[in-house]
Amino acid sequence: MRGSRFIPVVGVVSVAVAMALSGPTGCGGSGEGCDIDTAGTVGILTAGQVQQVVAQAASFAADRGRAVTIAVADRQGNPLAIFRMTGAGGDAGDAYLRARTAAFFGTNGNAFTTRTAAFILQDQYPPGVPNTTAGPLFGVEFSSLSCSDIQRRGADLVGSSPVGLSGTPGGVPLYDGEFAAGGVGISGGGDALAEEQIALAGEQGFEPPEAIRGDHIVLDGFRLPFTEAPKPDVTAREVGGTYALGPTGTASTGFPRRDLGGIAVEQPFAPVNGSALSAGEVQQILFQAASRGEGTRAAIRKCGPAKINIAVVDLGGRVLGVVRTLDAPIFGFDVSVQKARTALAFSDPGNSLGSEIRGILGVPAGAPLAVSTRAVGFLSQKDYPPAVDGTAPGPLRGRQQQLSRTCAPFGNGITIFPGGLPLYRGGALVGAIGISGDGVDQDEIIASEGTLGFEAPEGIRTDRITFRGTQLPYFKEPRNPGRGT
Amino acid sequence: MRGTSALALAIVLFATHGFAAEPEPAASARSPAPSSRLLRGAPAKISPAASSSWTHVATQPFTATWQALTSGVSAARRAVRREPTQAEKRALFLKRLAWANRIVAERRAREAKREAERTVESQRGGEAAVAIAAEAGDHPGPGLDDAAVVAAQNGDDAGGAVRAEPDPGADAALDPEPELAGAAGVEVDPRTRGQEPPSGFAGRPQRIPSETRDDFIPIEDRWRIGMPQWDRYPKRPGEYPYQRGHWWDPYNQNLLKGDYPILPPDKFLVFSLISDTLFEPRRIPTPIGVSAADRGRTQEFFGQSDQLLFNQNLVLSVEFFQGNTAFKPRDWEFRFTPVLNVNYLDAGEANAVNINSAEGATRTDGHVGVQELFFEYHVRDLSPWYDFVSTRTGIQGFTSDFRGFIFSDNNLGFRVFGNWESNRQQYNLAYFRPLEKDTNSGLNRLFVNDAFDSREEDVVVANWFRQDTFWYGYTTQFSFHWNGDHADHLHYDNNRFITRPEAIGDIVRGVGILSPDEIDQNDPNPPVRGTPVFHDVDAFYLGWAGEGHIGRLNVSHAFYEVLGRDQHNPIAGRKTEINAQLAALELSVDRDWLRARASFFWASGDPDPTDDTARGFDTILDNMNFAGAGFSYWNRQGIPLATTRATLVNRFSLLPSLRSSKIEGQPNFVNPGLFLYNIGADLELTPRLRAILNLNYLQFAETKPLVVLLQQQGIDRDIGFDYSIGLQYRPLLIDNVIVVASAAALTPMMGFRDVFVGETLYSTFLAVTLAY
Repeated sequence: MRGSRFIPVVGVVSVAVAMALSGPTGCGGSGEGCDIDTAGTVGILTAGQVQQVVAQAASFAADRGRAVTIAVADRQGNPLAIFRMTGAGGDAGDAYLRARTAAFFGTNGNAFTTRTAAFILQDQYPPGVPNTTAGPLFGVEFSSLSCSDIQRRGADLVGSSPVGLSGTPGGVPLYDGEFAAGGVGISGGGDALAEEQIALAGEQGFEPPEAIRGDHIVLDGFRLPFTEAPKPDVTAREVGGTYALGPTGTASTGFPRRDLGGIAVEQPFAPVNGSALSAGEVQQILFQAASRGEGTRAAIRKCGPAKINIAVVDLGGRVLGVVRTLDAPIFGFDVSVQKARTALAFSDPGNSLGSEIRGILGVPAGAPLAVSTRAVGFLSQKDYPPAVDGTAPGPLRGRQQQLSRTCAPFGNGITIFPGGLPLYRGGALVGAIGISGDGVDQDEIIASEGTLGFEAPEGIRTDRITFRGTQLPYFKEPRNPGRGT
Repeated sequence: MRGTSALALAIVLFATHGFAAEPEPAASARSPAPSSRLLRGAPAKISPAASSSWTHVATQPFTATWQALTSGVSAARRAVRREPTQAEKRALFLKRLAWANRIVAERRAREAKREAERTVESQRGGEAAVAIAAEAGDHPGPGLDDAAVVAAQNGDDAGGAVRAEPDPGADAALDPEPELAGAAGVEVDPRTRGQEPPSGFAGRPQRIPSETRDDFIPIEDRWRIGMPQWDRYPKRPGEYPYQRGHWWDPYNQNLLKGDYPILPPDKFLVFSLISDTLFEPRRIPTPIGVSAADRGRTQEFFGQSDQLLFNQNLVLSVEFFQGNTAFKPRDWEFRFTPVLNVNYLDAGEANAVNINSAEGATRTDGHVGVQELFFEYHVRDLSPWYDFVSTRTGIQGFTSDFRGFIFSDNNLGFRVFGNWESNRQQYNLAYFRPLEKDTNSGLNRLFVNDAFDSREEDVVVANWFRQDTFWYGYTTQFSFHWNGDHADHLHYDNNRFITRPEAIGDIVRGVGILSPDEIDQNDPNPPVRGTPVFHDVDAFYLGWAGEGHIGRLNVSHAFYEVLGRDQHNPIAGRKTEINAQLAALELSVDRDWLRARASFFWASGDPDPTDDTARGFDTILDNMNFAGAGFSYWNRQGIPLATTRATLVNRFSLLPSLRSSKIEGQPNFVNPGLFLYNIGADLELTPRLRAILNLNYLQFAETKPLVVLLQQQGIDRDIGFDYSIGLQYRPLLIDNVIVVASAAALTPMMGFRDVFVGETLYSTFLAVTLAY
């Protein structure tokens, strides 16, 4: 047939045209390298640089006719400057909280602002969308509290604030090149957008690399916000005001480092003997978790493995050891201990929280019950079951906030998102482990790895209990955690 | 009966392919030949022009048209395309009349002779028989003469020369017949002579002629002309058209199926009732939601993946029209098709069926949807060959191209359609204002809370088909689509999952900014809610597609370029300009009962998901019949993109468009795209049993959108192999009873494993369709 000869031509042309119009295709294009610093280098701010940050923010605020309070913190949360513009409103503690929040969340692999924090710590994720579960870091603002016995830096500045981290825009991170160096926070600017813009003015010259900004991180399918205020262009000049503190340079760059079975870590608390766990066992648990962390794909960092804080606590809540894999965010230092203590308190029938949850769930008082922070969070959301608007609130709703006023039960409050698991030996509770610093599912699988040899007996875990028609969770793995690290 | 056929096929298509648009890509599809062939169950060969599988009803009408056009009949037709002169018409009429007289005379003679023989045999008296024979021989039956005249006047003038040939049925009747069945020796009343009842269920007796003479009986109801009892093959099952019909028999002539006018002379009613039952066990990687369904497996990310879907549709359809049954386009038509649905899903995991984990892992739901509610008006004929212009207003089925690549739906709209050049050219101009869909049944939702439930979407389609372009048997089509999707409020589906705007990327902005009146001064850390980003998507599609055969080689191809703008794509996080492509090519060769097939499909992907150009292809509402269609795993099953609220690929689509829902979500042009390579075969094993085999190799075109959305580096392009077998069994050789079974498996390769699981996934189903 005369026609048959032409058909391959038609086909080929059709496909060729398609290819041509599509631009670049088929280059595989997924294996981009991960060029984030892995040595845990901490960015340094000099006193002059701190002054520059303050001057830039103050100049921009003055240009806009606003008088604000400006705070700068280093990455460890040390306050480096508090500057009160003449006639400034705003609260120094508030400004510092914002600066510190940006500093605490920032790492060499991700840069978050207080707006990012606001996005992930609310009872809806994303906030403002009904029928969604709580944010991954729901309630994280109730950590690093001023009464905390773990994270003490800036405690006096935070003073009576009921929260330890801020979820209000106006705090942005400061970077020393590619290294997270701290944060700047603004208070008293009138509205959050203006405060954020003033903070961005202060950040000029100390911006994080664009690729690691929050708005390049997608967490559980949602792109995190970074800032929404337009980036200002500012020239620093003399602005009237007084330094209530500083300016000084970076005060500390972290905790002592050590080698944990081949994994370089910072060690805020060296392993010690507990009432039921020996220092060697604590070390083993820390190592198990740390090595799992190095093999787990990060959820909040641009690429590479998760970087986390690992805490083990004794019965009674005493810290038996804390290590941080290099470049783990600082906020997780306090939270990791909180998580361990939360799992411990609710799992321990002798603790008032332990007896409370047994009462709620209808478990006999004194009966063994392994409670994870995931389970506590499940019962703490505004809806029960979570994500169903219009149902009754969870029975533990508000308990965290209540405890945070006194840092009960063990000295730094509790956490209501995943990452804390109790440790058992022979069916008896011997302590708990808490992981914080990456996505909560990642934290939890790392915690789970830490419990190897000290797992809760399956029969006593919360996932054996159905409450108001819904089975409680205990622990859940992230999706394909080892791939793409 | 045409309606039944279309609906039956539509329902079968649902089993295999969702609730499909009715199989009429263009007005010309209304030609009677295909439907009667399909319904009457003539051993239809897999038509060369048809698509990859028999499920593809959308091309069937075309198939038939091509066959007609490429046969000698159409050649003759083309030869007389010139408008005949009055003289020619008269000559033609006289020729027909003579022919009809001859036929009738011969038949009368033969009948009389047989009658005589029988009379002689039974009554042993010959005089009467001889008299009758003599009478019949001298005077050809005037009544039938008259019928022939009516037929000549009402028949298709355009095909006059063709139709003047004796039709096969008449030939059969003339065949010498050794034996006869039937009553004998009945006294013949001259008024009812030749007045046997119609063979079908005609609903009323034939009208008694108003005037009778010995040599002339006017038959005023030409639809109810009698049919003598006849049995060509005694002691064997009878045959059409000598079967007697009943009201409950949809297959033979029936008043309720539009074969006789319900209001003579030209108002017809077609009533259809179709039951479609689907039973579908399958395996889909299902993430455990907030609460696991199984106590034994709470900690894994992916929970129980084996699912069971049961879906029962009961379709009622009423067509009321003025016309000439199947002999010409209808003057007007009203059609109403409600569908009653009950569905059940056992998903294994709680949050797979409902946002509320307390409602368990199973879901039973039901819905009544209106899938057709339209009025069709035949505006005018444009030529003596029934080139026409018609309009359809209301809820109607429409598939915009041969394979449902861009838009295929039953929805609310207005359509102008018609043809030209003796049906060689066909066109549609359609505007749709789609209704919302019911999530679990996929049917239309007419009202919600007493308010008309609009989807906030506008769709405009203009297409033009031309048959015999370049080659006889090859139809080409050019099309334009516009989709304006304007979502301005949060839309949750029936299971209370958010679907519009899609809950991914930066769906929410402004978190952290509260209006002053929202701030609770007593709250130390007031909630700082965000505002969902509502975005309009405007997409313009330019398409070229073709379907048919070039010599022995069957060809189907399509190419689409889509341009437009998304006000704010949530994955890109910005306004994007759309520039994406789709290309599809299927080649096949028929050899007796076997069709061997190879096809290629490409939907462009977005290599840079966060730039301002969206290069991933998405559609308006596709229902892709390609590369195994609803038999293949990848096409049939919707796979949720775990850890996000997006769906990797929707049910009955090929595109990994990351759209929340095909029927309820907005198009998303930032997606990975797809390469698909297919080989397959359609086997006509017996007239009752057909098998459809497919092997597909699937790859993402780009993986960057997944890398970004999943925050996971190094996702591979290979999706895997998808192999499937489908069986269609028609025990009665007709489309009133169809059983379809299928089994498909997807063996994941690295790209799929990176995101999901390594275990082989399967999709099986059994569908039974019973049509009245």
